[in-house]
Amino acid sequence: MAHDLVTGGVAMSWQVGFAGGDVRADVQITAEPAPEFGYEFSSTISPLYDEAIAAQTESIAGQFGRPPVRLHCVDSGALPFTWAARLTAIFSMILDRAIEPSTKTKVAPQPGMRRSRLYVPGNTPKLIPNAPIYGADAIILDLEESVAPQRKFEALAMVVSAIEHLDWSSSELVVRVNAGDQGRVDMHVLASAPVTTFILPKVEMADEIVDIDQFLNERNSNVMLFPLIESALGVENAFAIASASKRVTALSLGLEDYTADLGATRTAGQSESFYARSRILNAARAAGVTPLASVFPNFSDAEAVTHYARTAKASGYEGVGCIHPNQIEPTHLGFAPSDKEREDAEAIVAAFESASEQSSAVVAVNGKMVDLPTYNRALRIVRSTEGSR
Amino acid sequence: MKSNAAGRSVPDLSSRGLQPFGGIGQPPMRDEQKSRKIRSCADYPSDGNKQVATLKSALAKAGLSNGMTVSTHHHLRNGDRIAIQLFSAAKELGVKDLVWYPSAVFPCHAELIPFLNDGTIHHIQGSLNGPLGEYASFGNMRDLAVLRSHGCRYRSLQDGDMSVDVAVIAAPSCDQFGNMTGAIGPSACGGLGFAVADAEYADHVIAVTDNLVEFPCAPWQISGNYVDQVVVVDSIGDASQIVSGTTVPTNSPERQLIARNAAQFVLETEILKPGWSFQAGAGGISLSFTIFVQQIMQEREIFAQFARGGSSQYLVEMLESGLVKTILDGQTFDLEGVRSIRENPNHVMTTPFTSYNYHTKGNFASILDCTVLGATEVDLNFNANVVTHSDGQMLHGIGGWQDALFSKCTILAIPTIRNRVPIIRDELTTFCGPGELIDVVVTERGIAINPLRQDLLEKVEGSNLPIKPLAALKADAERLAGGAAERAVPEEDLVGIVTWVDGTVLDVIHKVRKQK
Repeated sequence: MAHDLVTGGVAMSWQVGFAGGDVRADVQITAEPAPEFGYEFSSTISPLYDEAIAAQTESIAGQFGRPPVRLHCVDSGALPFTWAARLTAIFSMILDRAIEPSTKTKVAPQPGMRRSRLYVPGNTPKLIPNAPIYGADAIILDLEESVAPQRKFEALAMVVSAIEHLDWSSSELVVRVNAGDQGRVDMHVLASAPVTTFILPKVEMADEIVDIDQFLNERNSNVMLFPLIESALGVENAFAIASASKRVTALSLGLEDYTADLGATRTAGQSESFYARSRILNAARAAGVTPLASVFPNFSDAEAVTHYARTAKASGYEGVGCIHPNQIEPTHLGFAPSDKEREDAEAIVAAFESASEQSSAVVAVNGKMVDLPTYNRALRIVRSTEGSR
Repeated sequence: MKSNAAGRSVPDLSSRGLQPFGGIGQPPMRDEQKSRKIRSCADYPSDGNKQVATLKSALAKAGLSNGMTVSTHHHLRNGDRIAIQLFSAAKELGVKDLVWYPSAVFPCHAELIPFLNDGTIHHIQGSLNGPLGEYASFGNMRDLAVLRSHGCRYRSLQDGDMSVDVAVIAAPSCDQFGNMTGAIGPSACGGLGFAVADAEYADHVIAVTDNLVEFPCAPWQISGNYVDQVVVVDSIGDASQIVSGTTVPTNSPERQLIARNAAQFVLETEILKPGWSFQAGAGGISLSFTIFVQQIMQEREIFAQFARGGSSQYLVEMLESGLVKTILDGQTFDLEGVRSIRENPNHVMTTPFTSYNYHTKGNFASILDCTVLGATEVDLNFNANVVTHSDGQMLHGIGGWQDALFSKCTILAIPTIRNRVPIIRDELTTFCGPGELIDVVVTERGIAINPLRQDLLEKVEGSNLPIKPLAALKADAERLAGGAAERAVPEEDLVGIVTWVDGTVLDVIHKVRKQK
């Protein structure tokens, strides 16, 4: 547990990270006051990286002025980005400092298709480095639901370190920040990081988006926003939320919290959320942002995932949320256009672009007029086949 | 120390009858193989009843004495209860300094460490893993562990490098004559193929069963004509433990991706074609590979002429659905495999002689179109290690790994990084398999093809497979890990010898240095 144990107003120890049991690729660090800085560690991979671990510990301790504490580190094969995150978190806690805003100058990847967006718990380092290898269109480092309240501080350090140290160029990089004050802390730290999009949980009013837009403007941030609607009130305000800022790029419904707010029971047929799903979809299209379907909870049945994705696509959604890498390929299969859809789309795109080059106002394909929305829809289909795996 | 043909420095081990590895396909070290002793029916009961009261009395009758070599098989895997009974009885007899020559050891055999400490067991000949591997790696065993593949173990008995004085064979069913099978009985474990060499070559053979059946125990897998004595005990083991950790498909999405990449590779290179053959080992990735090729074969209605087991429920499903015509089964990994080998005539028990033995007139391994194996390390020349981790500890047996390298396409399906430690290295900690026999390395971050296999490189041109040079995969892993792992510096003392399939010395294993 990330905490400082306080006795009579004096902090006695601090701890970050996890150890024991099935924990892998993490390092748990406990710090206690000491006359001068010092550390010790045990490692499941000793002696193979002992020198590297010592050098990194010394380096980061130096950045924090080598505070008078003794660190006890239990390493289960943590990668350097994890060591950096845990050390940064514990020194910041000891010195009562906030996590420093990320200032890396890497360019955030631009959003492309969003058929699949993979949620990755932000404080579980063993799951983070491999997230880009599964071919998800977007990867969401989650600071909200998957992180216990008392772990928010160290999770933010972990997400910053992961963004800065790992290669995310193959996917749209998204961070689900927290709601409320912690969300402001998260966005302050990540405003200049190479993050493409923030997912904002539990949005209910357009004013919230306006405030966050202003908050990010003050930090010269380019990060886009993806509000998650998770309440009846949010559903009622969906269009206003989606239209509240040019930063808003997508909209989705969080089904678990929404059905709880309704007092409904979530069913396989999802009839209880039909209205909300339709409303969100309509609001997103009306506002010109991408409608994305909710996560699908079953990850062991590939056919069910494909069916869910296919149904979402037929409804007009452009992607679904994935909670497990095994859902990605079946999701892409569900969003893959049929051969006829692809051929028709290619014909529409070619005809429309050719007409545009010739400044022609009238385009027809197979006897049907092609307008801009038809072209845009066809273009999405063509792009989805270009990146399909 | 001299450098062998693998480029590894090995000491002069000629006093042990061992020569350095001279390369693949070199002439045998000996011209003649061991002859079996002539036995006479006159020395055995004419009514065929060879039963004796206890294992202790059987060992005494066998003349068990100090310094002898005793053997057991590993078909009961982590449920084996025979080794402990064997050495408990030997201890009661006051016998010391036994050499144990198992076909493999499992974590359950940690209970033998007290027998190593008290001198009942002098040392273990063979691959070591788990707690026994750790025990030996730190120099606690009195002599070296000589690591042999399954085929090499058979060859060692056949060539006479090793002589077994007393073989104790766990028999899930047995009659009083000694005919035995692993296919039936409360401790059924499938085939008994690994015990065949011991039955054929040991001076004295004791069958131990917890299911004595009426004569004849038919169909038998090992004939009672090899057996000296039969002993009935309460239990030879726990058949449910046949399913040990390495016989379950992986749940890890990363490892599933590796298995899927391997399956896609054999499809796109047309190795997977009508009438093909394959072998996938006991590891989670290999088993997942079997599941993925099963899906592909179902979708495309492709059948395999045969598959080499270790059999599992997945191979059995393929056999019963007609996707695989025959299973040639070296060992049975789960209870569905046990059922199948009992019921299905196309599920055939094999032995290391038929499948893997190098000093014979051919074997099944080289007939295989494809084998999917694991490894602990690979170097940039595709040489690989399977017995030690990068810290030098013996943690895995060779098993059939070296023998299976002779397939037409050998694929190592491995992660690029384990617990921060990159698997692809400049130099192996322990050399177990020559790169010229390893064709492809499939990982979660890409697929590397051995440049010696230009035919495969041509096949994948224009495909969507993530083909990369091995060096690029190494660089990817090192980027994540913060550089290559330091090389563990061992002690000077040796603790193990890694032999090649022909019995020559590929490498030696040094004592692991204790951390301060």
